[in-house]
This record gives sequence, C-alpha cells and structure tokens, in this order.
Amino acid sequence: MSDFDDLIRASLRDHTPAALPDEALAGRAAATGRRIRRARIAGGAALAIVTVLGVAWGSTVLPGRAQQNIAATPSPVSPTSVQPTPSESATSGPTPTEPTFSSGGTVRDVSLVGARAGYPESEEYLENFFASPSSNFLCTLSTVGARCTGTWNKGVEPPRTMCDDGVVEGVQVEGTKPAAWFCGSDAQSFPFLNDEGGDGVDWWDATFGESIPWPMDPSVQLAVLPYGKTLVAGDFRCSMAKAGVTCTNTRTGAGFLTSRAKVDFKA
Amino acid sequence: MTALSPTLELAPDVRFESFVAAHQVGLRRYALALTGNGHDADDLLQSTLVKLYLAWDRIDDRGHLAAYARVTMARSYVSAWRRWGSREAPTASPPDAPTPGSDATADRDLIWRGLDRLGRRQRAVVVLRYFEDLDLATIAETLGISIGTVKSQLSRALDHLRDYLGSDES
Repeated sequence: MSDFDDLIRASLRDHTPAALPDEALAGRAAATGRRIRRARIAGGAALAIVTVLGVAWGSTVLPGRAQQNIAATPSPVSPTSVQPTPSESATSGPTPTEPTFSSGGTVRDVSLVGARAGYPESEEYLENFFASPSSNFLCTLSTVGARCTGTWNKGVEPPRTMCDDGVVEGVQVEGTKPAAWFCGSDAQSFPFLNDEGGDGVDWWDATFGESIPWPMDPSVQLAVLPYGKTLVAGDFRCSMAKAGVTCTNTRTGAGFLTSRAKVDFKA
Repeated sequence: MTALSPTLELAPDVRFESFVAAHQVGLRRYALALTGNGHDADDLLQSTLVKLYLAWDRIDDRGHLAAYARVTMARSYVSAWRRWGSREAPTASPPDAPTPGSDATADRDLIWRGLDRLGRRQRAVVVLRYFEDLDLATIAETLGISIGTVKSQLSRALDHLRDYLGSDES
C-alpha cells in the first residue's frame, strides 16, 4: 500500500464529514415511493381499461367467430406511431408523462417519457435507454440526441489518442452537429428493467420490447429494442436491425449506423 | 462489502424508517464521496432510498439491505448520464490551488479537487476502492463491469490524480 493510496483515503475521509441525521428523510423517500406506486397502479389500470374497451370494441365491430376468415377492420389507433398522452399541462421543463402506449406496433414516440437528464435544471430533457438484442450496444435517445456505446471489432474504433483521457466511449448524433465518435470515461446508460424507479425504460412493455439478462449480472434484465422496432424522440429516431443500430436526426439527416463490424456516419 | 456501517445489525422485520435512521449518515457520506458536493449527494441519497423503498418487499434477506442500497447508489450515480452535475471541461487548475506537497492537508484538498476532474465511472471506481475498501472483483460486480475495466479505469484515474497533484510517485 503506497503513500498515494493513503493520501486518497485520507482525502475522501476528510471531505465526507458525517452530516446530522435528517429526521424527515425516510418520510420523503417513502412518500415519493408511494407516488410512484400509485402512478404505476394507475397506469396499469388505464392499460387494463384500454384493453377491456378494445376487446369490447372488437367484439362489436370486428367480425365474430362465424366470420373469422374475414379481415378485421384496421385498428383505430395507428400501429406505427403512438404518442403518449400528456397527463398534465406543460410546464417550463420537461415533465415525464404516464406512458399510455397502445400495445404492439413497430414505432413508439418517447418524446414525452423518460428519465430526467441534463444539468442544470433549465437544460433538462427526458432520456430513454435501450439495449440491442445482442446486448452489445447500450443506447440512449432523447429530443436532444442519441448515443450508443458498446464494443467493436478491432480496428473499428478510432485511436484512443483522439480523446484527452484515452477513452473512446461511443457514437452519437446530438443537436444539429454531425454524427461522430465521442470521448469520455463515463459509463453508458443502463437500460435496467428491474431498476426500481423505472428510470428511462418507460417505453418498454412486453408487447413492444424484449428483455434479456444482462451478461454482467444475469439477475438484471435489459430493456431490449427488438429488431424491426423504432423509437422516436422529437427529431431523433433509433431503429434496430440485424445490420445494427441506426440513429438519425430526421431534420438534418445526420446519423450513424453501428454494428460490431463497422460504424457508418451520415453527415 | 460494506465499510460504512459493518456492525449495524437489523432485525428481520426491520422497517424502512428504521433502516434509514440507522444508515442514512453512512449512505450520505458515500453519496458525498461519489458526487463531490452536498446538493448532488442529497439528491442521490434520496433517489437511492426511493428505489430501496420500492424494492423493499422483494428483498427477502434483510441483511442485504445495506448492500442493496450501496450497489443501487453506485449504479445510479454512474448510469445517470449527466444527471449529477457536469464534470466536463474542468478548469486546468483551481485558482487557489496550494503548492503540491506543501503540507498533507493541502495534498488531500488537491486530491479531492482532482476527483472532480474524473468521469463518473472513474470516480466511482476510486470511491469504491478507497472509501469502501472493496477489492477489484467486488467493484466490478457492484458497477456491472469487467475486472479489466475496473483495472484500466482505476489506473487512468490514479494517473489523472497524480498529474493533478504534481506527484511523480509511481
């Protein structure tokens, strides 16, 4: 053990003084937890009501058993683009809504759901996390951009010298900038389904997404965007295909396609 | 795995409020070590406790509550992209930086400031190694990364801190 190790220990110890206990802390945390539970129950109830109404609607409008070979009338809700309904009026910052996605479909608009991100508060936005079916890529999508981190075959990543700290973190398309590699030593987002609090995986349900155990910790399930599915947030959209993950700014046309074997940037 | 409150034993039917009362001081110090400032530490502690509250009934082994809270806190800190403040574009040198090596207190202050120059994953690895006294395998398990990544992140973090301190120790 070196003097330098001891110095770091001493520094951490000196700068983390014990604060006085906050008597109300447990109460505040429990109250927030109860609100989240109520919201989940309300969301589940709303989904159940929608399902029941849908079944009732189907039983009255759609062909009955005697007419099973007749094509059903298309769903009144577009299956390719479903946007959640805001549960409250807009405020100055992004306010996550209770997700009320219709089941199935191939595209989900997540502009109004997700985990709060950004700093300071005036620059907050809502962020959604997802994994590729192979779990190799972990991505994030918001109305300000999209990023994916993962591992690539040898020679795909640029030299580490492009980054000050020697870490090439992943690929991104943000704002109106061209898509590019980005640097950093911060970990990627983790689309954990059983990360209580549901940060950033509100887009997921079993009718749209898939889940797989996280290789690093199989007790944790990753929220997977399946092949053929797309998430949209404002101008940005990410699609999953066997050829890789594609994220694009539909306004500027900039974007990237990433797989283990290659990364293609579109200016 | 804990270095915060290793002697605290809680009854099997421990209530959430009792757990918070017993562990909040240690968890808050842990949050402060991770985030580097009191405001973000309070936010991180609160969000960790909310997650613990929501998972409370699913955690059968009450002896694992503290470990669950610490792992949740570390992962929340690392994975919450940009949520706990920005660590990008730090200043090259704090204006009031004392001369390195002038005294032990000044060196400890410099290390603390140097931690702010690290990315969240690097900082978390340093905190888990030197504040929690975890071995590399447990750090890897806690953060959900490979041991190789822990080693490389720790190595880079220490290099950054040495550079910042102006130390030529190896």
